[in-house]
Amino acid sequence: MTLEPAQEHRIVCHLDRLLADREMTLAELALRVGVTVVNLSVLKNDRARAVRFSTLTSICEVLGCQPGDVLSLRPGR
Amino acid sequence: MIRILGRFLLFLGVVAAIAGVAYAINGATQARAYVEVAVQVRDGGDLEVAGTSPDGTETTVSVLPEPEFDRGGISLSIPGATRGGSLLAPTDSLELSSFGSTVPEQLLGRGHLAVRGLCLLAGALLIRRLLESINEGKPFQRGNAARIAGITALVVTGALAGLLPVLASNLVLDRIGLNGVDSPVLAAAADAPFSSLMIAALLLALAEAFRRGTDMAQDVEGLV
Repeated sequence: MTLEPAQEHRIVCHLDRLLADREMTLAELALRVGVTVVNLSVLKNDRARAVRFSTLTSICEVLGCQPGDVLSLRPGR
Repeated sequence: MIRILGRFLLFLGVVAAIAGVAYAINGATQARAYVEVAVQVRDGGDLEVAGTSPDGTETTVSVLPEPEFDRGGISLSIPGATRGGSLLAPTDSLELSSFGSTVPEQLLGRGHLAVRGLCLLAGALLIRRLLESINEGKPFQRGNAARIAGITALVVTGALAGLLPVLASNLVLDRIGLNGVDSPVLAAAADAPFSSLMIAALLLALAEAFRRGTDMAQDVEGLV
């Protein structure tokens, strides 16, 4: 899924680090959040274009963190 | 189920296209023979009904006088009918048979079936692809709005094909010298395609809805 240049963003997802810190797999997180592994993989690899607040809420509840821990803005060029 | 429907429509389209084109070509091979075209009666006063008298000789009988003809048809009495019952043969759509036809007359006389058969085939191909995308869970994928618009064009084309037999009728009437204002017959008018136009308008609205749906689907593509 490739974004067109006009739609590129600088939002970075830190799921991989959060999962490693909690020794949790992506599959387990997907099961507990109620989202498919494919979609979480899309999010983890910065290929998502939008995130539902309900999904973000569930991720933060399961990982015990804040939205700012999951997503951050990469500095511009 | 959707796949079966798509294949069935494609089968119908292939049959209709082959049959329609073959029928038209077959007509063209019968040039110089009889051709039948639709006409309507403008003035039945001079028309005659050909028949055979009891002694075997061929006779002609004039159509009943104006008062009966004014009822929009030719009145036929029924032997033994009580209380004055009669038959009314409509004259707004009769078949004119003429020997010595030309290739254009034959092709135009049958061309509407070829055109509609080809439209049906093209429409079946478009509908089949549309159904496949819906079956795959991607109803608003790119191209579906254009496919529906294409089907709309085919519906309109099929409706307009009804004008081809009218052209054939005019060619025949012109060839046999009955295409003037004094002629008792004229080419039968094509049926007004009101239902086809309504369907086309509905399909255009549906195409626009699918186009908006495609835009919305792209907006949520990649949504987690």
